Amino acid sequence: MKTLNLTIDGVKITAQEGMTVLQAARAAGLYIPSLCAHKDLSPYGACRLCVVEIDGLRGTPTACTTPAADGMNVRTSTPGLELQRRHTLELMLSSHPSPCLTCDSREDCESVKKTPTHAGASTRCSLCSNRPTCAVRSISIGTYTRDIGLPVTYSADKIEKSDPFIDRDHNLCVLCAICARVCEKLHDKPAISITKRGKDAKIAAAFGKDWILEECTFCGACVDECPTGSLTDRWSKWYGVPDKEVESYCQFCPKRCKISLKIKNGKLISTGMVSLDKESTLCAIGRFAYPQVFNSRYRLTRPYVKMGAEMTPATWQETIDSTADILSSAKKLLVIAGENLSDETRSGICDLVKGLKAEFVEMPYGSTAKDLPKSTAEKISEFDAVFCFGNYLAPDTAKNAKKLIIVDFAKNSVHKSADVLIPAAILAETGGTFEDENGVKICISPAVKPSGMQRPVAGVLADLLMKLNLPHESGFKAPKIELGGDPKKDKKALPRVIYGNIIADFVPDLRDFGQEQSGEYAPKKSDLMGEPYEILENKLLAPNFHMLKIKAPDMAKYAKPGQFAILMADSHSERSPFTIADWNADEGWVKFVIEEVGRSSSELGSKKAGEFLATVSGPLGTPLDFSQFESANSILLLGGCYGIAAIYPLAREFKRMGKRVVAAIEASSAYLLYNKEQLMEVADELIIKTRDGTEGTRGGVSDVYAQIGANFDAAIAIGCVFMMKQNSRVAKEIGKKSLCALNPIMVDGTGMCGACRVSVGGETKFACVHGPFFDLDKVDFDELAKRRSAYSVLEVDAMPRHEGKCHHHK
Amino acid sequence: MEILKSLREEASKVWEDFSSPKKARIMVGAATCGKAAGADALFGKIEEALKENGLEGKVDVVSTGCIGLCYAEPLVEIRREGEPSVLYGKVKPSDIAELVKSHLVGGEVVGKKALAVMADEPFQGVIPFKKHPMVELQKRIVLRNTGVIDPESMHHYLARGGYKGFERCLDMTPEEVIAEMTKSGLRGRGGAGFPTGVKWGFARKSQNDVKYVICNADEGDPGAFMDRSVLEGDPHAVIEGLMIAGYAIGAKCGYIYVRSEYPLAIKRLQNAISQAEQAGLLKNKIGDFYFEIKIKKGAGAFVCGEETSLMASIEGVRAMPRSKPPFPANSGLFKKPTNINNVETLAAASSIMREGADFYASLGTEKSKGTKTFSLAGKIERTGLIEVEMGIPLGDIINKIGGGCSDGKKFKAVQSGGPSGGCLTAAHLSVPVDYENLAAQGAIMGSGGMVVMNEDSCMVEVAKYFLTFTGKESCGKCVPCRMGTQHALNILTKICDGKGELEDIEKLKKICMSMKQSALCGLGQTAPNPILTTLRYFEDEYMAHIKDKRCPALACPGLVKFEIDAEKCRSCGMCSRACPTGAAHGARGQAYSIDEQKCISCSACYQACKFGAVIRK
Repeated sequence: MKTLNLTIDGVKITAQEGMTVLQAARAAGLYIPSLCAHKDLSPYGACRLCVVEIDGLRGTPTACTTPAADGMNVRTSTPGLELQRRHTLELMLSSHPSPCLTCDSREDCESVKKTPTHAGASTRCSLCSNRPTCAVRSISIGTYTRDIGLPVTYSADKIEKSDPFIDRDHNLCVLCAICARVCEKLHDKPAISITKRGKDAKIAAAFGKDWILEECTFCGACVDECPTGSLTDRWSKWYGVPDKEVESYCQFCPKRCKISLKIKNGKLISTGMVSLDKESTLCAIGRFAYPQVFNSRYRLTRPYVKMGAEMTPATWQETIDSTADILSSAKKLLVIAGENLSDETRSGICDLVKGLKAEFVEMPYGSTAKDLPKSTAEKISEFDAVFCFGNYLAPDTAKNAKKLIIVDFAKNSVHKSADVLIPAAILAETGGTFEDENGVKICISPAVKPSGMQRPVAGVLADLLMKLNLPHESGFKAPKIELGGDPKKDKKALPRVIYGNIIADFVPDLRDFGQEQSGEYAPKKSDLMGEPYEILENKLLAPNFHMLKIKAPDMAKYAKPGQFAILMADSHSERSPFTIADWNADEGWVKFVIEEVGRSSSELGSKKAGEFLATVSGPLGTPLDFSQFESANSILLLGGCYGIAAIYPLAREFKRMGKRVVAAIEASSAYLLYNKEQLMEVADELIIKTRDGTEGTRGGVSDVYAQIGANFDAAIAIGCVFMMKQNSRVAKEIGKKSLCALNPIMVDGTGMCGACRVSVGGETKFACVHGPFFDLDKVDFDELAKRRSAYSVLEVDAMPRHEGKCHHHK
Repeated sequence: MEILKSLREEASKVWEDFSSPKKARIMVGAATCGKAAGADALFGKIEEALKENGLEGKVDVVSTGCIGLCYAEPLVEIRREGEPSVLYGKVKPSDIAELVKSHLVGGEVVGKKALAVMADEPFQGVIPFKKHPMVELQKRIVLRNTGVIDPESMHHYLARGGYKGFERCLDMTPEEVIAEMTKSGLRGRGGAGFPTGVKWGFARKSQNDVKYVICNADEGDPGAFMDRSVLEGDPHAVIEGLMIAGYAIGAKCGYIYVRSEYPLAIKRLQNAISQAEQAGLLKNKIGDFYFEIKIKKGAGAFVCGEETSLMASIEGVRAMPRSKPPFPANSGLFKKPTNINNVETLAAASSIMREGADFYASLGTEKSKGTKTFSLAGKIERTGLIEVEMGIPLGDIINKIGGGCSDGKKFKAVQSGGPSGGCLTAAHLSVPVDYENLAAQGAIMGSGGMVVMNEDSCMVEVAKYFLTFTGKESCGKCVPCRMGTQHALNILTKICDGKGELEDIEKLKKICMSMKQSALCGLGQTAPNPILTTLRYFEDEYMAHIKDKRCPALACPGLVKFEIDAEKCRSCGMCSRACPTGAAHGARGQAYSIDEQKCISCSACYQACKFGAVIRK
């Protein structure tokens, strides 16, 4: 291959023939901004950011599409190019929810909000799961100033969640088409492409159908390569960037595909392809189901031994001892195991069967309890003991066993018939020798520590064999497993079973692939309690902001400005506090503005008019003491996010008292403002601030406070922690009366749990009973921010991942 | 060429029979323009009239292509035995009886309907076609057959020298053909104006067993119909051109990419291709040369006119342009060396090979040789299809050929080159029409669409119209085009609605610059041209919208007020009946008035009033 000599920005570099200018620059460690160029994909030239000047070439060609040539002289960052790039980027940002990128307080805000909020819709960086890795963000922050000088168009397209595993948010898409290009590269029949034209152009499957109905195999490569957060892995997106990636093999089926395990803080958060090529594609199970099965809340995490009638937690020593006792005293022993096990496990089982002269039933790959031979099931009571590796016994069969030892990775109802329960380490927790589909032996090492006391089954067997003093027999031969089809290409051939357990039980989305659930973990009807609080209206005020009008005559009678209530969407939901935004005693309703920032609020937000909430308890909290403002003539109310709704009842009351009320509200961008008309009715003046300047003036309400705060007798700020913190700095300078309403984590809302403790002026207070109002200048907002983020990982675990609907399953 | 010998003999007989005045004939212009004007309805009436006059079977009734006088469609040519043929315009079915009776039977030309006579001398006071004001200044090379021959007859084409250019090629080496093309000075008629011979040379030099030639018949500019008329009126000329190109570059296969909105063109092409196949010109080895032609129907995306997306579309993938290099001459259709020319270029190529390069090069200006077809549309007296020598002053096209603005209105501007082009004003009427001169004024030659605007046209709205078009037709691939057209359109809409601010002009300029510099393909790079030229020549109109909230052309609904002049009002109530909101009201015997609150500025009353009493302000 010919070596080419080029000069880029005065630096002499060499490149190989066939490289583009961009590739040559990158290989030489030179930076040219670019978004749609991808190292594993052919040149595309859509983002137009990598424009350069090349001697002898007209205009400003894109580096990503221009082949490098010998003697080329390239300039990448002349003032003209920088301006050109900036203009292109401005156009791109105007169609992307970019207010955080252009916000003057971004660094300050993000030092408080260290991880993005788990919002329903990613209306800006701080609500976007892709914030840590976003390419649009890194290019914008790296290079350019903040004012984009163009109106931002946020079309508020509904996030598409109708397909399994993948969330699609077209509002974030910049049409780099990497997804479609990846799909084209990896699959003979690509599933997605750009459809429609102009501003309607978007990534979609043919005719806008759900991907599952088209060629998509859910290999997930498009999601993994999406630079913007427009395609996301619904289950894993909020965990953030893995701190470790381990190359291993998938153990779900005998294909043993190479797989990359993505681990963060010791937790397996996702899986992916080891490299972007046809051979490395994964099936939907390997790419999406893997971490869900692995991290299932139904995992069996410790051993149990039956004491009397009760299954009792046991140590491993007790477990091995009890198992050995049962095995050694059984004259007639039945061992049941599946095919898809490591050589070590298989060999241990063989040794056990031989040593104890047990009867062995081998369950073929993919079988469950239903497939247990009838002859075996019928004579189960004839055995003194049954040792079952996996979920291969129906409850009715299991209860006939005299003694039953079960090895399994998930809890289920059969376990109550067991005498010993052995928790199995599976998938990335364990390893061993396997044969791949070509018959080549491969060795898999464990990559993740079990979340509980689970152990690899081969190790447990070794302990048992030693305890029982049984010999190790060589000459074991692994069975050849028949795989009926290629799961990578044929959705029908996806693995359905692991250890006799139905995978779809742990991964409800698999129902979309036609995989039936066993019903083992279906919610029990009796779980649901009465549903007394009817929703009269659910109106979307702005993306993520729902106004819920709820029938609650008693609360409407007693509510006072500044009070809150605890809401629960369903009986299993978390209790969360929300300010009472409006009420009407005569009509018997109260209103709340719910901002979707996690599971509980999104559950509330998804409730429709006519449905019911499990709990609406309140009014709670100390109402604002208006007597303290008797001598005040003018009040400045500052609201941001949910605070825009929270200041309304205050404004109304102050107005009724005859005060001059000025309301200042802020949002990141014009499309996030709401309730303006409502506030106009009760305030003498309404000042609007947006962080990107798309409505009102650019900035936040703290700018208003700093400018005109001294002219007011008092100020009250309600909003996110960062916003209140910004205003508290101003409050300290102005030195006049100032209050805020706090929003810590709260459980009961009546002063019992103490979760809502906050530090105000060095004293510990409970926001629920002492508050929510405290002196703005005295609150320790850094502590509040820290306390609010105490459960961030658990909050991610709890995020809703499955819509609970199955559109395609018939 | 042996295979054409007997055909040619046959052809000259057929043509003689057709063109000699021995037999009476009625010819109806039945291209799309004629059909749209109602040509199809004439055939039945003609048959009826012939029967009535006992001429059944004695008169040939034929349909032909578009002769270019679209403003006068439907056109009917009537020839009485032994007399020259007379061209009648705006013929309604009810006129047929009179035309047949008076002219065909009685031998008296119907003067009020007659446009011209197809002869060199006047006939019964009717001027010869060549002297017709719309035709006099034309130089018809590409259009020499349209409207003259039966486009479905290969004999006609052959008789008029058809395939002689190709025959001449066979005696030359491909390099000589390319040299001839270079010598003729022909430049790409699709708009870019790249020298055709040079382009062919690139594809010739590219080494590959498989090469393609493509005819780009994806004519998509609003108001442009040159290619359609050529395809409908003279399909063999395009086929011959494609064969010559195939011979020159060494391709065995040619594609004609034609929009499916041109069903008649497709039908006539298919017919012509099968005739050429039967004659042994296509799908047959002629010496060492083998060639075949496939038709690919496009689904009507403007961006498919861009060569790389056109090729993507033929390949069956989404039509999106890609960056060049690699150029199609090296890696085009199916990654093979490909040459792509538009319809007019190929039709001109067959004429050049037939008549010789010198003939062609003798026409036009120094840098722009030959002739160019234009479609005249918009607010012009004589709309239609014309072909003129390069270098003709713009004013001659508008005023002499086109007859100036219709309805006696004042000429304001002409948009040359469609959505990618720019506007030219009354100040440019002396500008010679060629590639360089038009470009120097900010417009482009383009493929030949000329849309004339008069004093009633608001230039901001004109820019908005074209941006609406390009915004919808942008493929969405690159950021500057996708977002730039949207923002520009939003700003233009804002200005037309009277909500514009001064800074919007700067924003517009910035967006336009970004698109021009950074967009991937020609669509995006040229989409700002209508804005830039209207801004350049009509900035005062933009300013009137922004500063005075006034539309000088009284065309922007949001900025126009309607009133009734009580003196002129005859109290007829027409305005009130036309008004959709009840704003125009009044009572018999009194002057009507318009309720400003209810008025939505739809201008229905203005159009309904027969006395000019409704005034726009």
